[in-house]
This record gives sequence, structure tokens and C-alpha cells, in this order.
Amino acid sequence: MTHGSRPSNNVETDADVNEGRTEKSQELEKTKVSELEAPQSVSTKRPNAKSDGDSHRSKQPKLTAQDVQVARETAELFKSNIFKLEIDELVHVLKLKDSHCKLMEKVLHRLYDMIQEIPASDELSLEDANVYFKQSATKVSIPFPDPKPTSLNYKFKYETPEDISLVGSFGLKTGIQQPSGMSIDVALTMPHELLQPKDYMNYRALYKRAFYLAYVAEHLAALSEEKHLPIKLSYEYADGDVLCPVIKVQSSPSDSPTDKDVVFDHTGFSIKLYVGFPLGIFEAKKLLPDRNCIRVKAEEVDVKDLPPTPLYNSSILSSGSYTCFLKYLYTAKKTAESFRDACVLGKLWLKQRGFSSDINEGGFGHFEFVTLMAALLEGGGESGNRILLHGFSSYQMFKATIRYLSIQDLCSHGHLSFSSLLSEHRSVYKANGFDVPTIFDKNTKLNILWKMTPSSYNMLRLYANSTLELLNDVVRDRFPQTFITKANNKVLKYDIFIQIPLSEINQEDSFGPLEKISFITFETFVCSKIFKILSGALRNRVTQISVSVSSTSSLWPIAHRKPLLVRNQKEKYIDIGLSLDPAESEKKVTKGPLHSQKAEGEKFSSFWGSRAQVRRYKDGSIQYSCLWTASSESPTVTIVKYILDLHLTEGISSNMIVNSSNFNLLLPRSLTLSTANSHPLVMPSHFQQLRSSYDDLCKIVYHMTNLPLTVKSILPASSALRGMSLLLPVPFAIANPDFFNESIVQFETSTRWPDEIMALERTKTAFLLKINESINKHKGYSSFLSTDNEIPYLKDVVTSLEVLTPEGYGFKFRILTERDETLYLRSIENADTRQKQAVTDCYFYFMRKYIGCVKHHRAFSSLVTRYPFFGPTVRLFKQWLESQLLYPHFSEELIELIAVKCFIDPAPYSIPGSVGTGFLRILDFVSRWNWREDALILDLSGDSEDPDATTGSYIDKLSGKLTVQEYQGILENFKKLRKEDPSGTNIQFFVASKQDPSGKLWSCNNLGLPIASRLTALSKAAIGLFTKSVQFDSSLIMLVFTSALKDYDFVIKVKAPMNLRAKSGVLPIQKFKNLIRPLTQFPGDPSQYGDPLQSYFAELKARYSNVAILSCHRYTGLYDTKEGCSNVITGIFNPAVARGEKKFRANIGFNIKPTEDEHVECNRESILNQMVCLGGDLVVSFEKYH
Amino acid sequence: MAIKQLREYTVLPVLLPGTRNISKAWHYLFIKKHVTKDEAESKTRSLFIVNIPVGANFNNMKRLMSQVALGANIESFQACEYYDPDNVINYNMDINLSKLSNADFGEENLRDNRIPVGCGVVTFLDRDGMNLALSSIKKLVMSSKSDCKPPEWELFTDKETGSSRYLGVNNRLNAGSLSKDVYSSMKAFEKREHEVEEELKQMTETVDEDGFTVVVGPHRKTKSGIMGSLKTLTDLEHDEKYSKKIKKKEKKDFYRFQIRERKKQEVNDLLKKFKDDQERVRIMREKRRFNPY
Repeated sequence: MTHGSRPSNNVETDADVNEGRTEKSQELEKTKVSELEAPQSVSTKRPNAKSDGDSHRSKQPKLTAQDVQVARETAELFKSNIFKLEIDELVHVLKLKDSHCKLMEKVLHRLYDMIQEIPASDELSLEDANVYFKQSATKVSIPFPDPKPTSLNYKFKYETPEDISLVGSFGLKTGIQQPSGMSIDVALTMPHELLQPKDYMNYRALYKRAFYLAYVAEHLAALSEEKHLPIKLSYEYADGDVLCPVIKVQSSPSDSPTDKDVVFDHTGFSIKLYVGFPLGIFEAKKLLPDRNCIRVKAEEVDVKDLPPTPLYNSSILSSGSYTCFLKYLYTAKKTAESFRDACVLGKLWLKQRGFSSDINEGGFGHFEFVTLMAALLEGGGESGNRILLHGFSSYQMFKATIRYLSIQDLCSHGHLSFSSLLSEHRSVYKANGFDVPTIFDKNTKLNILWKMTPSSYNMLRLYANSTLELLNDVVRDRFPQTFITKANNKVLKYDIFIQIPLSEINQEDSFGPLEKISFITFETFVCSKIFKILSGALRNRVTQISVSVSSTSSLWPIAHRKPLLVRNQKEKYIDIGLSLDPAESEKKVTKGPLHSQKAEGEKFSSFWGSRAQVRRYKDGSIQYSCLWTASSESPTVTIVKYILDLHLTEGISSNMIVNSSNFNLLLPRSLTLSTANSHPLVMPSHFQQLRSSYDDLCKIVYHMTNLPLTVKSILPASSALRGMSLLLPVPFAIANPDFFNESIVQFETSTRWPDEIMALERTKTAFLLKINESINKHKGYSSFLSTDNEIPYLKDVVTSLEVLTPEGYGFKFRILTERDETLYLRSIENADTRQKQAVTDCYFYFMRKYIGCVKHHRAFSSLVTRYPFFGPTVRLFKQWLESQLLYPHFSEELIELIAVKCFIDPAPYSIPGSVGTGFLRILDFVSRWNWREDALILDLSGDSEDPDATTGSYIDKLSGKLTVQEYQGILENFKKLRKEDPSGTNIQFFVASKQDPSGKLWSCNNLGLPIASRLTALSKAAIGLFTKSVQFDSSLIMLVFTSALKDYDFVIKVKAPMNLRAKSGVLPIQKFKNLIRPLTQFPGDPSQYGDPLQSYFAELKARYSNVAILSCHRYTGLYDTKEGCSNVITGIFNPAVARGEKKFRANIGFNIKPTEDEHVECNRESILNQMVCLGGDLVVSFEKYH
Repeated sequence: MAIKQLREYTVLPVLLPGTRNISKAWHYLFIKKHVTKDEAESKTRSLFIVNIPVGANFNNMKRLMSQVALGANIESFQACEYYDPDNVINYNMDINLSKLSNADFGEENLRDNRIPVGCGVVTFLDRDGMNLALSSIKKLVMSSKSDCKPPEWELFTDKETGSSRYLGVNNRLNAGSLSKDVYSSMKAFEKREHEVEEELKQMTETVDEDGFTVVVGPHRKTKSGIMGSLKTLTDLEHDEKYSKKIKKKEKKDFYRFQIRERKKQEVNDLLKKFKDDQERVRIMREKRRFNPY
């Protein structure tokens, strides 16, 4: 294919898809390409063009010109060069193996021959047919759909099929590699003579088809050996449609294979034989979705009033249109060059999101996607204008289709009407909807979305929306999120995931004959009923409800009529997946109609039963409402349980398996209760109380008059003040390591700060002393100065002010001046090469403690309010790190930055709406994050809700979104960093944002390669456990939240002399609530403050962190039980230090012992002895594992 | 057989006591005479000890000496222990942030002649005591008999470990003494600052051989400030502001060749980006980033 023939130049790309740079650039193209060759020939700059011989010269420009064209084309037709290259590569990877395809063609030929050889049968009555199959050598049953016929007044017959054709993706050559194996669809069309026009009624055609299928199966089984095609046959429902069984042909090599045998089991292919009806044999009008085609005798129901049977009708229609759609799609493929690649992209996109043509998997798969694309090639707009043009690139086609799915409502407000008739090129979007997803084919009268439900359609649209957002992102490459990342795990996909055992739902009584004909199966009936109940009950609390049946294994042996009943019916579950609207889902009241609206009110109270009540609200309105009590589980779950108990099956809630609630219980519980009017999970009142105490204190400091300079700002930098600390702030909880909440004080600008770092710090101390003096004068407040050892080489010089407020909280102030940073930078400049690194480290420490933390706090306190579940999710993630002994290795800011990824950049999922899901997605992200090669770049402005509002550059600046330049700059930083340090020994996690483009502010110096790898390994293990087992019982969760002490070289178990639980503000483990006494005052003795175990750990770390990596639980209070140890200190020896012989040096820096050959090695025994000795009576036991 | 001598050091094994949680362990001290520039070997009365145990102080050193060499009385003991909570301090070099942040009136480093990390210096009352100690240590080490009791090193007394060590650790400062401290060091700082100003003033007043004086602006405070402000031409070229200024004056699309060059540049850039992207995809392919399953 030459590039000249590519239609890109003659087709003006549609404005919808094009990024808006067509005409100009085409003009430019002409000039540029022509000019390119000219300067090349005279160019003196290019060394190879001049120096090399003629052959090279003639080759080089030609190649370049072509390359230029490709490069230019991709920039226009695709989002960017890289995107196009990635798509090309992906399509290539997904391509089926040629050798396999060749083999399969051979198989298909043999199969074709075999089918042709099947002899016609006599006319058989039902009894004859049964007898016939009973007598045959191979045990075959006729796969009659329910109800199984008992006596029929018509005959069955087999004749050679009218037509055998390859339908589906293999025929279209759009098949892709799939780990579960690929299937080839072959449709046999029954001859006209076997069917009558009235056969569409009452299963007649279906029964005839079932016989036909069984007859084919029986003969194929017999012929297989003779024809040297060893195969295994089984029945399967086509796309989960129980009315349409098909034969699945798999290779089964015999034990003594001969050379002639064709074996294809290694290819992963299987063949599905569909039996279809000839097109137009039934009057399609009578099979429209609103018609009834199954006449049943039901009491007091007239034939005219029988409900419509849309599933039955569509199933028959679709069986009659295999070849018709084959032709239609094939023509579409032929007319548009990129059609095939776009199909592949669409197929993969759907697959990664768990969609397929199967009724249980959304009912929107490859066939539906491709048909939609074909229809859009012929129109699809509101006036029939074309949505896709034939000259589109694969990317443009894909994107335009996704966009169409996203913006056009095909369910309640409109539908797409097209015609599969080849001569009629017209499809229009019509603005009347049927409340079922509809893409209607006027030719066959089939709604090709008949397998979809409103719920699965809603889901599809959500995915289309989020993908469209990804594709519109111009800042970064979103290819992996669009195609590579799998977003199909039920546990990760939904905010709340509930399972109900199917056997517990006693609804068989209400599944009467009328329901049977409109829902066909019991499962569909139950799912639809649950969906109806839930959507009535939850309304705007949820954005998406998905109800489906879990794990239906569809294959069954041909010796049976229908799938074997699983002996233990409990294995089948109804899966309910809810995506929540975080702003609504936690509300404790469900409001109904006003008291004055009698009819609606009655409806409301009959729906809600005893829970419905009439309440008067603050604004004076009197409304029907339901009130839900607060507990550890979300009110949404409470509602689901209540309403299904009420309307589905009584007592079903006790059999429900709800995953998310267990996670809420894991968060530490505080000594004092949250006040009633706040939400205990999302924003406990503890944080507000802390905040108000802080505000009072700030007021005092702002109004101080005895200071030479006035206080300009007090900027908080504390996780508790932004509502993200692991432990809830509890008054007087002085053993909490985070008891003192830090903030930075800045004064008005002054030129008189000393121009030297020590003197500057001392001046700050003088200021703090002044503040200290006046705070101590305020009643209830007390304060003191303390040394602040945050910055190396400045220890004992820097001070901070700690304040205790009358409300029982502690705050810590540091002073920042405009001089500080200059002085640090000057120090770096003045330092010699040997000193530079250490001085730069000092600067980093300063940046963290004085500037970075404030910026971080500001960004995150707004994120916490934007995403209600962010706060508790981060707290749970911290709890996990804490339980795995990883917490002390991370700065809090780093943890929060990693966690926020799943909220501000959630693709391919949506923003988490529950703590459990948020936590699992964080784990999932961490486990997949290849931090050696990928940077984590965050846009903390994170306002992704309104993409249109941010297109203007003015607003861009206002909202502070990450721009392309900034993004590229950060990427450059990362590349530079990894060039110097490819394996990440110095900096492991590169986490950058607009606030910190360097990416290493929070991750340098305290992490270390082993800890980073351990985090990845642990999260992988945890997410593996969670995704494998759908039901999270407490033992599983305990397993994930317990650290494996045996992984460490040594473990020191320690216990504090007093119980730290209550003193840290954590609820003690006690049975009697009335024995819990809240703390009421600060102890006068300063030795009561803090946690001695942490001090012990700090000293060990200071002395031995060069020899061993030491870890410890940071919040001893959480682990303090009455008996045994309350905390552990674990260590892993640093192999670089602890192993091998070293040359003797006086300042070697660690404990040594001599070896035989005048060298020294690390003296571990002595080190351990000294460690334990330091601990004295705090140590409970010591264990050495390696 | 354990080694007894490592270069000029005598290796003295001492036994660390065990606790109920951990057994006894051997610890090795490396001992030699302490020699410095000021103190020649013939004059020193100190021993230099490498690899001191944690918390080594005068008392437990004294106790050790009384076990190995009765009669050798020690006068003082100094040590430098490894203590680095942030794991960033480099003990091999001195960093004086004060001096670095301001070369003119930063504080001088007060501690010099520092002991290397993990080492200690025992000073005896007299040279005889030191010699006695060293010789008896050597004797003890060299004696192959195992019957003599090895010296023990008592790490801590009970009061120095565990809860009594770690309970109520805090950094609280006494406001009164702190303000005195701050006052005195600020005085010292002002004095230094003043001296530098004086020096500067002197500079402006002195007339050099050629009859020039240094001109100092009213805001200048230090000498190095003056020197630092003199930018060389090469500096100027690197200065972005300056080069921007120069470039602004040029007209870029005046000559045809300029336009042509620009277009060529654009195409080349595009091509380069394309090639880069190809390379990136190639690397990604090698890493199997395109496998969706």
C-alpha cells in the first residue's frame, strides 16, 4: 500500500474527531515536503549526505521524505505519533498466527466436507426422533429448550444445509489473540423446506432447530474418525441465550494419532456451529419486540393481553440473520481501509472492560461494536449525516465510535436506526427511545442490542465517557489505560459488591408462566427484579447498578439436553455491583414526596414498608422519609439489605456477602465517639474539633502585639488538620506520635534577617520565645520551646514552639523567613564537591519541613473535600502500611501522594466510592507500578469533572492544571534521574506534581531499595489474595493486615511499661463501654508524653541504620494488648555492610571483629547484644531467624 | 586461633554481658598508643581505641582498666559514637553550614581535632600508667592460656537502659537559659558582623598604589558580596535574561533563507520526534508492554 493512495488527503476529516489542524497543515505539507529534498542535496550540515557515496545519497532523502509523510500523517490522523505507533504495535501483537489460521482453514474444509456428507433423514415424529438418537452409537440428546416438548403434531427432518458460511470475527479477519482461546463461528442455514412461516410461534422453529443440531452432532461424531479430524463435541448456548444452543467443536487428539489426523488443540481455536434460519422465512413484523409469540394458557389472561416476548423474538430473528449481517459487515470492511484495525481496537477495549456479546457479560461485544461502526459509516447523525468517514484512521474510527456511545443516548431518549440491506445506505439517529438500548435494523427488524439491559448499557456509557476523556487528554500518553490495563475484576470495579446465593432466593412461586415467556430463564427474571427494586430504592445514591449471575459454565456434553445442574446450587450467585455517588451515598435520610402529595406518599410508604415515616425538616417542609441508623456499614448497604428483605425474600440479608463493610471496621477506633451529626466514616467530628482548637490558637498568635514584626500567615502542615491521619485526634492523647500538629509561621517581609544561617535560626528562636511568653499568659494554654532536630548539621540550633491548648490538643510552630532558602542555596554553591551532596540533603530536609509540606497540605486539604472517600481510604492505606511495618520508612506526604493517584487519575475505573474499593485500587496500582521505569506524575488540581471548562488557556492558568510543558519537564527530570541511577538505588519512587517537579522531595533519603521492593511484593501478594477470593472474610483480611515477622533477620519484641492504647486515643479492647474513661487533662510530668518504644526505636535507628534496616510499628497504641508484647522492632542486615571482609579502618563506622587474614568483618553478635541491652526492661523477647 | 594483632593495633576481646533475652557476646577493641601532630609517641599518655561499644564512657572504661591493669589510673575518656538518625551525616568530613551560608561572618567550627567515629581516646594520669595498661593488655592477649578470665565490659547500669532511658524523652528547653544563650550568641554574631563592616569601611578609605579606591554601594555588607557581583563575560553569555535581550532585537523572518531554515528545522524536529517515538515504542515492545493479558 503506497501512501499516496491513503485517503487522508482527499477526505476532510470530521470536526468531531479531528483535533482541528487540517487545512493549514496540508498546505504546509506541500511546501515542506518539496523543500525538504532541496536543502538535503546542498546541505553541508549533514555529514553522511556529503561524505558517503551516491548510493547512500539517493537512498537517504527518499527514505526521509517518506518518513516525514508518515510522521506528519500520524500527527494528524492519530492523536500523536507515539499513539499511532503504539496502536500499530498492539494490532500486530494481537494478530492471529498465520500458521494457526492456515491450519484452521484446513480444519474448516474438512468440517465442511463432513457436513456435506451427512445424509438426509426421514420425516420423524418426536417419538421417532427420540428413538433414533437412543439407538445411535454415540449418545446424543436433542438440546430442546425449556419447556421440553412432550407431544408434537409436526415432524422433524434433516436435509443438507442451504448454506454454510463463516460468520463472526474469523470470517471478517478481525479475530484477536485471547488467552481463553479463539472461536470460529460457522453458521449452517436450515433449508427452506424444513420450516413453515408459522414456525416462529411457540418454540416450533426452535424445536426443529434442536433436532437439526443433534442430528449434525450425531453424524459429525461418527464421521470424525473416518475423516481424520479427531474432535470433541459439546453443546453450548450461543452468547448465553438459552434458546439457541450451538455445537462447540474442539480438537481431541486420539491416543494413537496417525499422520493424517488434523490436530489443532495447540492453536487454542475452537469452532462453534450455529444453525440459523433462512432469511425472511418468518414475517419479521410479527417478531417485533412488542409482540407476543408464545401463547400460553394462563388464568384470567386473554390471548391479546399476553405480555410481549422480546427475548424470544430477538433470538429467532438473530438466528435468521447470520448471513445477512455477514454480508453487511464484509461490505463495510471492504469500503473502509482502517475498519479492520478499528474493530480490533474495539474488541480489545470491550474485552478489557469485561464486555462481550454474552447476555451475562453486558450483551455488547465484538459483533455489536462492529455493526455499530458499520452503521455509523453510513450515517448515524440526527439528520443522517455520517459519523464515520471511510478515510478515517483506525484511531479516528475508534474514537468517533466511543464518542458516539458516550454522547448519544440509545436507550431512553433515542435510538439508532439503520438497514443491513446493502443497497440502502442510510442510518439515522431518531429521538424517540424505547427505554431499552436500541440499534434497530430495518431490514431484519432486529434490535441488535437485544441482549443488553438498561443497566449494562449505562455501564457501557460510563466506560465510553471515561475513555473519551482519556483520548481527549493532550498532556500525557493514555494508551495503557485505554487498551492495556484490565478493568474487569468485580472486586475492583464496583464500589460495593454484594453476592446473594441463588438458592436462597425463594422466588420460584412468582416465576409463573407469564414471567417464563418474557424472561425465559429464572436467573434473568431474578436479576431484573432485583434491579428494579434497587433502582427504586437507591435512586441517586448510585450511578450504576449491575446485577448479573456469577460463573455460568456454559459447556455441556452432547449426551444431555441442557447444562447439568451443579450439585451444589450454592455455587451460583447473584452478583450485585454498585457504583456510588460519594456525595449522596452516605446520607442517612431518604427523602420522599411531600406530605401533601397523597398518592405519591402512599406509593412511598408501601414501597418502604414500616420504615417510611413523615418528618418535618428545618426548612419547614414535611416530607415522607426513611431514616437509616449509622453503623460501620454504609447506609446504602443498609438500604439494600432492608429493601431486599422486604421485597425479595425475607431474611435474605443474612445470606448476603458484602465486601466493603469489613474494610470500614479496620480503621482505628477512637476513644471518644464522633458527635451525632457528623459522618463517622467520611469526616469524623474529631477532625473538626481539632480544627476549631487550631483556629482559636491562630487567632491568638495573629493578634500578638509584642512582636517586632506582625505575623503574616500561619500555614498548617499536618495530616490530622487535613483529616488524613491514621489515628483520630483525641484530646489529651499524648502518646499519639502525631500529637503535635505542625504549622509554619511567616512574618511580614523584612530586610533585617541576619545573613547567616545560625544567626538566622537564633533570631527565629528569639521570636518564638516572644510568642511563647505571650501564649503562656493566656488562660488554659501552655507552651514551651524544644529543639527541632529535623535538619542535619543544624541540630541543637533550630527550635520550635509546642503549644498545648485548653481543648487538649497540641500544636507545633516553626518559623519560615524569606531568607532561609537563599542561605541554603548559597551554602550549596559554596560547598566543595565532596560536601555538595550532604549540603543538598540539608536543603531537601529544609524544603520538606518548611515549604513542601505547606504546599502539600494546601493541595490535599482541597482534595479531601472534593473526594469524600479519599480521607478514610488514605487512613486505611496507612493502616495497612503500619501493620506491615512499612510506615516508618515513608513520609506521610509520600503515602498520600501515592494514594491520591487512584482518585485524581482513576482510569480505567471511576473515582472510588467506598473505602474498601479505594484501598484495593491503591494496592492494585502499587502492585503494578514499575517504579524503576515509570514516574508517577500527579495533577493535584485534579478537576476532571468538567473538561469543557478548562479548554481556555485563561482558565487553565487559574485552575492550575498540569500543562504539556510542565509534564514534559517532569518527564525530563525523571529521565535524567534514571540515567544517573538506572536501578533506582538512590531514589526509588519518583513522585512529581506541579508542587514538586523534582519528583524526589518526599522519596529521597528515607526509603531504600529493599523497602520499595517489599512494598511492591506485599501489595502484589495482597491484591492477588483479594482478587482471587471474591468473599473477604475476616481471616483473609487479617492475613493481609498481619506482617510476616519471619521474613526478617531478627525481631525484638518490646512492651511499654504502661498501656499506651488509651493514651494514644485508641479505644481499648474492653467489654464494658462504661469502663472507658475519656482523658481530661494533661499530666504535669513531662515524662508521660510520647512513647518510650519509639524513643528506643529512634536510638537504634540512629546508631545502627547503616548496618541494618530497622522497622517498627509507629503507633504502638494500636497494638497494645494486655498480655505479651505490644510492638516489635525488626531488622534486616544490610548485606553490603554485614557480609564479607572489609579492610580495617579506624573510622569504618560500624562494629567489627578481626578475621584470620588481617581484615575485619561486621560483628553481628555484639551489635545485637548491644541493641537488646539498650532496650533493658522494655524488651520482652529476642528472636533471630536467619 | 583468634588474631591478636592487626597492624599496629592490639586486639582486645571483651565479653559483653547477656540479659535474659540475649546471650553474652564477644566484642573486640583495637588499641594503640594515641599519637597526634602535637603529641609525639614518646610524650603521649593516651591510648587510642577503635570500635568502642555503645555508650562507652569514663566509668566503664575505668572498670575495664581496673580489670586488666590495676594501678593504671585514667584521667579522662573521650569518644565519638555513630549517631545519625537521618542516615545522611558523613563522618568523614566536616560541614559547617554557618560558614557555608556566609563565608564572611559565619561561625567558626569550634570542635577541631575530632576523634574518628566509633573511636575513643583514654588519657591516663601519667605515661607510666598508660604503658602499664598497654603492656598488660598485650600480655593478656598474647597469653595462650585460656584459664585467665577474659575482661568484661559492662555496657550500662540498669538506670541507663530501658524505660528509665526512654521514658519521657523530650527536647523541651528551658526558656530562661535559652534566651540567655540566644542573647550571647547574637552578640557574638553582631560583633563578627561589625568587624566585617569595619573591614569594608577600611577598604573604601584606603587608596591603592595607582590612586584608586574601591567603590561600595550603601547596601553592600560584605567583601565577598562585592567580588561576587563582578560578572565575567562568559557568565553573561550564560545569563538567560541577557541573551533574551539580545535575541529580541533580531528579526527572524526577514530573509528568505531564515524562513527556509525555519521550515527545515521544523521538519527535522518533527522527524526527530518521530524517530524518538519509534525508539520508545521499540523499547516498550522489548519490555512486552503491549501484552494486554
